Amino acid sequence: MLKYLTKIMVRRMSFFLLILMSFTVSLLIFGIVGQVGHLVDDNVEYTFAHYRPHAVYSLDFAFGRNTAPSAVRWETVKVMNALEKDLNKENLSAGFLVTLPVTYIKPLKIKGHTVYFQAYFFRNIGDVEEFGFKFNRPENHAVLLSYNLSGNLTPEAVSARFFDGNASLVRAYGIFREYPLNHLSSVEYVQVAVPLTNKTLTEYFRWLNQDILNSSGLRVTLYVASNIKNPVRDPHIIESLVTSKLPRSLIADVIGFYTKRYGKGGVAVDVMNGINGSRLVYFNGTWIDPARNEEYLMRVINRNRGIRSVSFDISLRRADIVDLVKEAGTQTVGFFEKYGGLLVVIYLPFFLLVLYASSTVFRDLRNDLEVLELRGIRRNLEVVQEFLIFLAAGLASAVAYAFLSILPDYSPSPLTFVGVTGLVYLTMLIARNGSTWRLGRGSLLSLTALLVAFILLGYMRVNGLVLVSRGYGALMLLFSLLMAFVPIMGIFVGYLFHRACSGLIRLFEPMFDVRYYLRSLAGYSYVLTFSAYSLGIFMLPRIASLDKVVNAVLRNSDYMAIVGYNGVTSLGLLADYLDKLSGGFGVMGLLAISLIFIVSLRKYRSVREYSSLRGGDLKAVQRSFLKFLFLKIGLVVVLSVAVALVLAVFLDAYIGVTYTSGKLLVENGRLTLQSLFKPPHVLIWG
Amino acid sequence: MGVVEFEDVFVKYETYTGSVLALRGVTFSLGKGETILVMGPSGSGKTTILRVILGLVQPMHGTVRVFGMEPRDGKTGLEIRRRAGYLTQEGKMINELTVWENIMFYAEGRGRRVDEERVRELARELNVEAVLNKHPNHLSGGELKRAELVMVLSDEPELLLLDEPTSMLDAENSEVVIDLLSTFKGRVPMIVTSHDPRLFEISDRVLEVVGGVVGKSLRETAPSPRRDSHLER
Ligand SMILES: Nc1ncnc2c1ncn2[C@@H]1O[C@H](COP(=O)(O)OP(=O)(O)OP(=O)(O)O)[C@@H](O)[C@H]1O
Ligand SMILES: [Mg+2]
Repeated sequence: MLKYLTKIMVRRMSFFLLILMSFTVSLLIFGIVGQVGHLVDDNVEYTFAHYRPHAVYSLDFAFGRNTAPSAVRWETVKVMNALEKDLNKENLSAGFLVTLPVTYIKPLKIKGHTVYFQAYFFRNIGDVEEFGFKFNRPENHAVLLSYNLSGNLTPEAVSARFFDGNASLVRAYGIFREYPLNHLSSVEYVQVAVPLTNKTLTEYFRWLNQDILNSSGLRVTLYVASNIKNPVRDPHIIESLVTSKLPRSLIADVIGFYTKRYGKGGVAVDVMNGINGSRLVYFNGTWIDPARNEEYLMRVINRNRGIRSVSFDISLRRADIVDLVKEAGTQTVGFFEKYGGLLVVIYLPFFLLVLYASSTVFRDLRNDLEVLELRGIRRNLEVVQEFLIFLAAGLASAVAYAFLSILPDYSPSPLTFVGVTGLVYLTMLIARNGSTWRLGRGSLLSLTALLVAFILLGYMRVNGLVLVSRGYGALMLLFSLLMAFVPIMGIFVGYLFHRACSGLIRLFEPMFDVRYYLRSLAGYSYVLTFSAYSLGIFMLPRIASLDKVVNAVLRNSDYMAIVGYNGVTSLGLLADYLDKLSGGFGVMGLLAISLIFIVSLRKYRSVREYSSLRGGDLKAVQRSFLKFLFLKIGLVVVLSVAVALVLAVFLDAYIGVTYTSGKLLVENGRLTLQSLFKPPHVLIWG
Repeated sequence: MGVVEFEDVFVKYETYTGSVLALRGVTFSLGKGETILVMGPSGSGKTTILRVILGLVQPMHGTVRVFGMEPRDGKTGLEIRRRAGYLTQEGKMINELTVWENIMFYAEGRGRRVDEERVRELARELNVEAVLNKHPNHLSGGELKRAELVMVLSDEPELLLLDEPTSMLDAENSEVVIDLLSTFKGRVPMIVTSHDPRLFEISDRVLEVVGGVVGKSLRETAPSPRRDSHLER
């Protein structure tokens, strides 16, 4: 008895489809749930890879009255090289900028303006990049970092006065958070990065303020950007790395440099550590605390006449990386808040497929039962078969669970397993008890209207902010309503494609005699939908580029301030995420196609057998089969392009609605828009 | 007491557009070993009579007794269906099983022992031995009809309900079926619905059904061989 029941089930395609669907859907949800944890990691990883600089130290050197540019250059380059070598050993990449305190340089009087000028000297352009600046021509040009000028004064004109006519400047953009730049509010200033050569230094030193120089000697500040190559996920570890381990090794390096230069007993290094607030003097292999042992220190210095005394201060300017690692969890929650609706639209259609597949299984089962009932065969067979169906779907879900558990980064919890299997079962129960699931004409039309409205508004970059600023505040309510409908569109999109798929299959019908295959395929329109949809998701990141938006935000520091670092990171993450996702979906789509291929090949063989028995034209059968196959592949291609297009346009609209932002100001009791950022279109062709 | 007894049976089907009175006061009885031929135009209620006997449709009025039981609840209905053999009008088998497997499943599901030799013999007689290993959806209508007949006859039913056994068959195969059925006549009580006048020969009695009402036509009234749409197909 059981033998025949299993035979019936196993020979039924709908059963396999249900298993496939419940496997896929389980995999998807386990994936998403696993990704919540995984996304925290991704977030940290993304931050370590893209955020610059991770931590910035400043080392202040007192150069005394020796102001020869060549000596300053010689010594700072030596120090930089020594530091770099050591930081590289610690698996960090480092960048250095040398500058003088802004007060040391006489401001420039030009066309009635007083302009402060600050130059940051770099060994090579890579140093500037380590600080998070980006520019279009990464050669060893002078780079304009920031400026504040009024009237028609250009930064080029200012720079030309300083550096004798060489006026070509490359503009920098990127995530830079104020450092090392001095924020000089209410004065006009220009800050540039220039190559550290004897020539540039000499030209710059002409502007030194001799009075300050004579009273306190030359001070040179060396900024060290240290960027960690391997992501560290533990905030405590990264904190101790940044606040104690790295400074200690920087100090050791500088001391090493001086002792090598002047001999072990030839120099006393006075180190002010602004990070832990200590001051120690290093001499001949020992640390002396001048506060407690001043007398001893004096004795030592006096005994060794002619030893040099150098001093430097070290301080930690910023260490955003510590905060970023600490905030990775919050950012992840923010990510789901921001893109929840979008992700639902991408994933929900797959649940619809479980619904379709199981409704077919149960419909077949009901047909069986009708036959069994006619024959007086025991009704409890129904229970056996339903048990088998649920068991198989549960097993498929369990296999997905086991599959993901092997991957170290995902491994969902057993509770998740219970939840997901429950969800799959619930979907199956809905399919079992409801009759065939259909959307009425009315709801179909209104959902289409909502979708079109959403896409149009998003494409035009109209959102609540824009509405309010244009004086259409009353429309805000309608707009929020539209936003609330976004997740529901997920069901609808899947349904739409399913309808399109079965519609297209029917289109082929009158073309030639493939009724036999068509009938066999009509029930599989959802597998076609599945494969087309998967391939559509595969294509999505290939026709939509979120990096365009990321770059647009980065290039404009005003918008960077509005959108915020988190907004940029999560967008970059979304790009990464969609890209990663697409690979898996590509594989699933191909698997589904090959399944269809196998089914139709089997049908073809039985048709050929049949027609050879009856002396039919085998060539004709073969021709019509091949034609049919090509059409089917064409169908999947057309549909997946359509899916990709719709998803891309939807994504574009979503980004438009989410990222259009600006500053609203109240002027004379009226709201006015001061600046507005409209993200560029994500579609690669526009 | 007959094997099947109908008394003033009314059947109403509920549809989306309203209700249809399919049987309006049908009374008849089928004695042991008797064969009744039910004739009537399409839609007159022939199939409905068979479905009422099997307990697949409940009458809204009147009493029905089959094997002395009322096929009212699921349990008696099941028992009746297990003891009777029902040849469906359109041919109903499970497509995922081959014809042979269908027959085995049928017998096992009804709790009978399968006589494989007997199955083969019946299949040979009905010219369907070649299709035993095929799936039902790959058979022609006539092949399916005869395959189902093999199934129904194979496990020695106590009552045969045959819905148009010769529809979809050519003249030659119709003869074969009628010949075979004549060997059951007298041994097993039978109700056969048909438009085929040749079946007239093996029946003891003819019930003429028109619009759900049984006329009082008996053996003497030879039904005129009508060529309606069923035969054309
Ligand atoms: N399941 C059903 N639901 C609603 N109406 C039905 C149903 N089955 C049959 N009918 C109606 O009941 C009437 C009798 O149908 P029945 O199938 O008994 O006719 P029949 O005599 O077997 O016809 P045929 O010779 O075409 O097989 C018809 O009018 C038919 O439309
Ligand atoms: Mg009928």
